[in-house]
Amino acid sequence: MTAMLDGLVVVELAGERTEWCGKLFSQAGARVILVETPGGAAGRTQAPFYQQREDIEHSLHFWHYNTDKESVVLDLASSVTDRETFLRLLGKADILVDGSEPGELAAIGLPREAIERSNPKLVHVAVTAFGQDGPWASLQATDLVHLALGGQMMMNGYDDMPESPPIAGAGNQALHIAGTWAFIAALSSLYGGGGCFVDLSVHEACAGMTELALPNYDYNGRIVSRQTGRHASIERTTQMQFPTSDGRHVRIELLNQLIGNWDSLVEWLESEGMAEDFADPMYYVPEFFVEHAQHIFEVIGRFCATKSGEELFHGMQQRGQLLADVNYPEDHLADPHLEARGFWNLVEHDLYGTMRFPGSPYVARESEISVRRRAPRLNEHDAEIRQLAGS
Amino acid sequence: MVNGNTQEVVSQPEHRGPRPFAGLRVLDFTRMLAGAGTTRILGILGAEILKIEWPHPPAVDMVRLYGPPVDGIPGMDRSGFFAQINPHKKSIALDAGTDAGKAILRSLVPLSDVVIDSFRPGVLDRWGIGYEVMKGLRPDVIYVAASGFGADGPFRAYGSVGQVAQAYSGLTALSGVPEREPAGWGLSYMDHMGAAMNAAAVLMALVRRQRTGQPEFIDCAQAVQGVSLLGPALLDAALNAAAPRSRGNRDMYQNLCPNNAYRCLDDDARGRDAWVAVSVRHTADWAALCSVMGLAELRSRTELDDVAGRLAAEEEIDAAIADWTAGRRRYEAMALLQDAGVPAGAVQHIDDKVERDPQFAYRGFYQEVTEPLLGTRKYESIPFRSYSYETTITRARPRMGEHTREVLQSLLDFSDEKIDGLIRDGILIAAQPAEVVA
Repeated sequence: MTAMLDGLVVVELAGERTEWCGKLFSQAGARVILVETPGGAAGRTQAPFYQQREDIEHSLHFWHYNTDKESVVLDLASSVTDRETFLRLLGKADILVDGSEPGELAAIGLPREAIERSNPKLVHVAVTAFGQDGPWASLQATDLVHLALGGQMMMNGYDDMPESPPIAGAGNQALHIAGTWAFIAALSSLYGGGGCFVDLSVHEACAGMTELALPNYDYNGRIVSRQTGRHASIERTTQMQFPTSDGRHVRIELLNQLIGNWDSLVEWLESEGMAEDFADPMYYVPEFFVEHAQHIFEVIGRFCATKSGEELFHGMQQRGQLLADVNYPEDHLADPHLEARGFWNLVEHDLYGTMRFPGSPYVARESEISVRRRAPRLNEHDAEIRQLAGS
Repeated sequence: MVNGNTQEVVSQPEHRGPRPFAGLRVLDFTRMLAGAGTTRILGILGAEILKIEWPHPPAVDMVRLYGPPVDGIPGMDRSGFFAQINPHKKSIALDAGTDAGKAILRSLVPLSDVVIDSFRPGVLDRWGIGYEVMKGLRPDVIYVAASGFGADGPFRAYGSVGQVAQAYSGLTALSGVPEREPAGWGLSYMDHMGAAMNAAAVLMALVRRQRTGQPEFIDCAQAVQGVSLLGPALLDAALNAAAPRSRGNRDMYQNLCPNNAYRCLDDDARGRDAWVAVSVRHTADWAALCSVMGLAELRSRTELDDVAGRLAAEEEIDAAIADWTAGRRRYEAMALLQDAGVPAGAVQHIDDKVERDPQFAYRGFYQEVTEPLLGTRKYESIPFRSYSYETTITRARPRMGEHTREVLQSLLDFSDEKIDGLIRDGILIAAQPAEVVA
């Protein structure tokens, strides 16, 4: 079976804003050429490291985001020859994913016109923190700063700790948001015929993901506030995240209560003598249900405290209730669902043997999307890529 | 309808061609945010979205019933949240539970490039238009099935929404302070990201079809998409037997220090808490931060020049920064630090973003569209602009059944009489013109 994007050639100017986009291409089977500076991509210095070996060839951050890519070092800032190689390489590519600062390439002798001349069909996606222009175009940002300015952070945190700041979720999420959008921008532009420049702002990518915040403000002038473990909201809502008997937590959503689902939930609680007044047929009335949400969640919370997270996950889901236990990364190592879907991929490392890598969330039926090769060593593919460029 | 950007859009080039998916038709069985957000993206990028819907449970897109309603009056066509998620779509109101409804859907498949649903797995199979049938009707069809846990695997019958996917994936667990239960995300992050990742699936398959002519089926699982967004932590667990845990706003992997949010002077009439986020990436940032804040003693300690030294003094450094920010307003602190090259940003509320953020104003991020029932409303644009094609939002959400008549007439040659008969039989609904409803 061929890979989904087999035959596509992508040049990625290595940087934190482009690495996820590049990985989405590489795991879909595009040939992704990672152009690194002589010192290597910044991602090579990011913790965590494999077995605490803190050098540029052992960053798990780099290993993850750069599977299936090829590395070439081009000194674009100092070498005319390397700039020429870069432009010739673009002549062979379909897409350039560019994480440089606004104006940075032009300042080193690679203006947009030169890139366009190198390949009139090229899709050039420039991913910058705030966009190519505007009063904040030159500002500096990190994942935390993006989630702060974008509005997500003010919606997360603890409602009972006024002295505590709002919380940004961990795991480079601003950069995942931007990288996914860069992938969308690149594929859309390619489908539309190529030959275009796309200006993508991480700030805008984050700001467009705050759910009800804009409608509430635009229609009612109301501002949502953060609440522990649940949606930011105008009014205080009831707790929906509960501790379990095994020291974990579960998160439940009671949406679209169908009578059959409610009955089986009540039956389960009754069998444990914990249904309280849930057999009251008034709970079938949506308005009554909503009015008594506080009580409903208190009863469910008491029940959750008597069961393990895993019991609740399966028990509730099998009764049509939307609940998951709050997993940690290591919980996924033995997850039978991920195993059955082939989420974990085996990758061969010439020094360390076979390794389990997280793979693609997609399962395609007619083509392949998966992680196949370890991330490249710095400049590992110098000869092949220079040959491709024709130098 | 009128597109009425009120803000100056300086960076939008003037001469652009058609949207990239102009001429592409999508048969859309999605609902809620993760599903319908997918076709929002495709619609803004030019695809013709045929949203198949019905106003009664269980088929109804519940978001039509969610607030905030325009003028505080609930109604199928009055939800501000639905409007945000469903611009650039056509609504065909059809009861898919009836044989006549299924027959119409079956005849729309050959005319559609893409079919997408966000049902639990197997619904379209039960309607007689599963992927294998679709391929018989349209040999190069793209079918993306977007569900909570996907069509394969032992949890395939389980359901999900954003917060549940976030809990399952680990995103919830990795948002919080170490001494408390997880704070999680105060929004359905995986509904937004699910929508983007589902759209990416459609686009991959479309590009493949353009190159090979081949059909494709992609199974998207929202909960697994969430897992895939924690890659380095998963690899740390898999290869180092590590158990990664959140450190609040401090960088989980200690690549940055300091990296936190610090309280500032309250700066608005609403009296809300005010914070600024600050990160130090390297020695130059550290030197600049100390200079701006007048932290000469800290700057003199050479062991703080590298991140390991600063991590050892993290409490002390955070306290010193908090002392400095406590006497300043958010945007003032941000500007002073940014002027010195230090990453810093006000922790913004929605009104800050709409009213105060000069970058959004300059780039016209919030776009306005006028529609008779909703009035003139703000929409978040997609976060990129092409110098070759249009990406602005110009069409508001459809009213329930607004395009039933138009689409069945133009695509299936249905007569008015036939449509009226199906309406009388309770199989179709066709909405009144917008000006009548308004």
